[in-house]
Amino acid sequence: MTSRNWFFKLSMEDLKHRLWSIALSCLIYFFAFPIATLIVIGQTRHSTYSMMLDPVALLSRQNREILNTFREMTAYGESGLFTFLVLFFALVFAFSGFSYLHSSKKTDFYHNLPIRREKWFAVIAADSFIICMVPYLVMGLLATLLVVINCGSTLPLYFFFTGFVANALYFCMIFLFAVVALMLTGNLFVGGLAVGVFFFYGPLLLGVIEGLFMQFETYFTPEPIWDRWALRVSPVFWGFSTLFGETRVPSLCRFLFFTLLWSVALALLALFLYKKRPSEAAGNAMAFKVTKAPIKFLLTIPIGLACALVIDSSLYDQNVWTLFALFCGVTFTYCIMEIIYHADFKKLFAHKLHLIICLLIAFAIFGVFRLDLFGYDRYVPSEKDFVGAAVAGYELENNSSDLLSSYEIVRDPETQEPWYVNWDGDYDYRHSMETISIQDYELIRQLAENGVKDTRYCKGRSSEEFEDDDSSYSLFYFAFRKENGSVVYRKYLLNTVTNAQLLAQVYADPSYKEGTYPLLDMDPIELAGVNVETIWGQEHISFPDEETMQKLLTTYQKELMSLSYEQRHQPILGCLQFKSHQFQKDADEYRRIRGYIDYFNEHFFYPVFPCFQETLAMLEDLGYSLDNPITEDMILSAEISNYMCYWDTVQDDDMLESYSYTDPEKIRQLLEHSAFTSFHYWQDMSDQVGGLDLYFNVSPSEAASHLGSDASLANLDSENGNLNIHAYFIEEVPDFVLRDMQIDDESVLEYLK
Amino acid sequence: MIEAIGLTKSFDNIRAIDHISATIRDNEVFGLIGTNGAGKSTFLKLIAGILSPDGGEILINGKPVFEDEELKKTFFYISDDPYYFSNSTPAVMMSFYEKIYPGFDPAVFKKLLTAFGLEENRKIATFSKGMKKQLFIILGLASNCKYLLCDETFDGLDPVMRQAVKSLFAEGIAERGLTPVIASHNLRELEDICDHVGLLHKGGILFSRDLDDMKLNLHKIQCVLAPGKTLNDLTGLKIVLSEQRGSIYTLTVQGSEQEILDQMRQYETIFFEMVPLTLEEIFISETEVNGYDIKKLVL
Repeated sequence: MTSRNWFFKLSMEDLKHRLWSIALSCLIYFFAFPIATLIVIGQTRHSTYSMMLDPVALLSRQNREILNTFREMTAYGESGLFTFLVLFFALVFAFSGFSYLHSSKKTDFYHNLPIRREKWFAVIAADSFIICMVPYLVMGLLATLLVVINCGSTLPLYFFFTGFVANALYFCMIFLFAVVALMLTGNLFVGGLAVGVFFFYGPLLLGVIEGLFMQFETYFTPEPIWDRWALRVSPVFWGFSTLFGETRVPSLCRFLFFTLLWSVALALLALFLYKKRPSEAAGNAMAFKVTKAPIKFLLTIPIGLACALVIDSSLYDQNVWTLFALFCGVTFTYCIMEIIYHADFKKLFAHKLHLIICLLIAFAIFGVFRLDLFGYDRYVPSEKDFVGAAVAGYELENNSSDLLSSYEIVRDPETQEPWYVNWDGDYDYRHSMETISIQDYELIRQLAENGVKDTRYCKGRSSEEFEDDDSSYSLFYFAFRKENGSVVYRKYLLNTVTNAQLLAQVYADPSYKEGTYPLLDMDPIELAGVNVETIWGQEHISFPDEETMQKLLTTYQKELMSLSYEQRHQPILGCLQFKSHQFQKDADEYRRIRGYIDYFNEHFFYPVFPCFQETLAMLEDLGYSLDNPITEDMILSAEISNYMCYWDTVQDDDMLESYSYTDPEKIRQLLEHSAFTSFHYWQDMSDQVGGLDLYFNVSPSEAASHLGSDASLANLDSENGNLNIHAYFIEEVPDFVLRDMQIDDESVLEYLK
Repeated sequence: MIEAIGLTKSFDNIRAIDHISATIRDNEVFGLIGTNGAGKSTFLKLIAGILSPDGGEILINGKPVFEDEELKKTFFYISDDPYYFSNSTPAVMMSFYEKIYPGFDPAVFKKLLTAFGLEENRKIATFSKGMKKQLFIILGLASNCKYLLCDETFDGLDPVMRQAVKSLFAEGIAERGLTPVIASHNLRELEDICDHVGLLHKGGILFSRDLDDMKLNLHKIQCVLAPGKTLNDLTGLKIVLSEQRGSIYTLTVQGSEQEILDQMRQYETIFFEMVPLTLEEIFISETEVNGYDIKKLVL
């Protein structure tokens, strides 16, 4: 037989015996492609909004909807329906194609024939691919043509082929993973378990590693190990990356490259295993005796550790139960594996020495992390390899997640019009850790040493135990950069009272400011406009000339740079949003297409503190008075809400839930003791009094007189149309409020101090 | 020619084949006998290249057989429980083997199928055990392979079919040099077909001999001794086995036919005659000579 001849002949013979697979594949793809597409087209053409638009606009909108739905169905990186089908078929066809290896009768049949094993391998693999992907291609093209004809666009071809190519390679990878699992095992049940191990062992291991590191009090990483690696260590997650968010989806080229690489490696491994696989392995648990012990160790120890970590996180600080869970996890997993290996319950302790070794290793690993034997929590950078450090924390800047955020406009693939905005906030201090680089080693060393000490002090204590008048603890995140390029991350609970001086030094460090406030790097030439936010709302500032606008930026930059840690704790008077040309262009385009720009009016607001005298003066000159923006005569009433009434810990039943003031004198005193909160920059660092909320009601006409033409009235009361300006008490609550609201319980008064 | 040289095969801790050396000459019927678990099937699977030996080697025409396509085309292996595709018919199996074995002759297959009374398009699953064995013997013969490796193939065949198969084997040997290798635990199945036999026991080969050689040196005599005489009086005979029923003795005696006849004529016997030996009897006597209690092994 020539090579083509033998392949064709064997392939035809193999296909003849897998007719049910062909039928299943054709049937499922028939419903998933042409039928589903026809349903989508039919439903979209008869959707309810059809009455609202003129025929041309209606057709265009319907076409767009159909194309969007088709893209979501078929394109790479979208819903994953076909990825799931491909995964399903890969498993089914791998198991059905190579199931003969698990039956001694069938193995004898195939292996006595004058056909080399690699030929069988090639034929079965190729036929499985054909059975899955040819119906995919045919049915998919049929559905694509339906959409192309219906919508008059060739985009569906692009959507379909990106999905097809990605799924074709993904099929190969999953199929070969399953084949390797089957080659390593001797019966279908254990083969199935092996596939499960291939699919989920990586994430399990990552979870265990992450869990072990979380045993450390100071463990912190801007990007959790699991998040960073899960996609790369599980073939299932790799195919369903959309589950991890759109930003995690690898580019098509990257996906194809790595999937192909894996497929080639797995094909070589599977072939190697097949050639080495003894025929008598059929029916046994494992095909290769040599793999038994390593696999047992590799599974037993992480599963035991995972059990311990789960119990530890459920029953906080219960060492005995945690250790018991570790013992049980290791022992049970070991016993189950021995039972599977021997297919005999009585053999559950077949290799007691292995069990003892597994237990020792598991306890040793857990002990190293639990007892911090290598001094992870005591880490302080040494001067000789210190290059710089980043420090961040809520107590230094509580709006950094927004100020260091980034955005991306997601566009309609066909029209390229803005669709929605992806806003990526720096919630995990990832950007802060990269952008801040403080060079003062002594400062960093002291903070780290105090962090180690304070964290150790707080360990095992509740906040009531370690917080008092002289101490207030807050988390701070550190990135220590070393000379060799590595970065060591830690988080410490620091006493902000005793470390106030050091924190002030950090805040005063230009590197901290530049790393936390990207505005400080903004070139005035880049500035397109400025929005101001007062208690009345937002307005676009009208500048007499560009020079004034740029001067406002440089003035603000100068004052922000010289802002001290202490000044930072003052209540803010308002906010400014400095817009770059690109930002303004994006906002304008978005408003033009979508009709609103909410996203763009909610981010990148910078605070104006009372100490920003030059900025305030410039704003005053431009007609925006941020200082004393409201007087008692503008206010109709002041409402105080007492939400302490709903607290379980407060037992004072006589307290009033709310109280209203209309007396101008009392309103004036309330204004004196309060600060406003209705800003997109949230100032949480002033000396706020919790438990009571304040609302100043202002008539719409009064509000309108302070608002420009494009300002928004965000807090209009639905009942009377008044503007409710939200505020909070600072430093202390006036006595008359306590009296009027019958707040006299000692514990409550203590809280309000 | 098939040669096994120091062949060894173990499954976990069980030594199934233990340093076996044997030669299977072409154009002869090789019988492989032994008790259950003696290693017959393992030996055949090693010949068929299904199993890879742990030690030693198995050679066909001087070359190792494992994973050698060309060598594998020279034999057809019939397992004790042959596999067939689900829902398949003899025609389907024929179509399959036709593509696998270049010498497969569909005409022979169809002719034999008709001769054995098997339906070409009936599902194999509905066949009896014997019919399935017949089908695979037919497939094996139609493949035109030189070697036919039969594992317990005659089990389940009725006497008529057994004879028919034996005739076909004889025809194959005569016409195209067919070399059947037949493993069985039943000596009676092999006695009228084998030219050469190998006896396996506990993974080792007790002996491997030509049947004719054994028959030349071993004979069975039935006799009635004169009154007052016992077997101890027959001092010149090398009696391997003796059995007494009433006054009739059945003796298995080593030596040439003429020697034995001469000896017997010297003794006072009322009656004696030479009777044919069964394969079973040959083995019992041969193995007992080697110190084995063969009755426990093969009966």
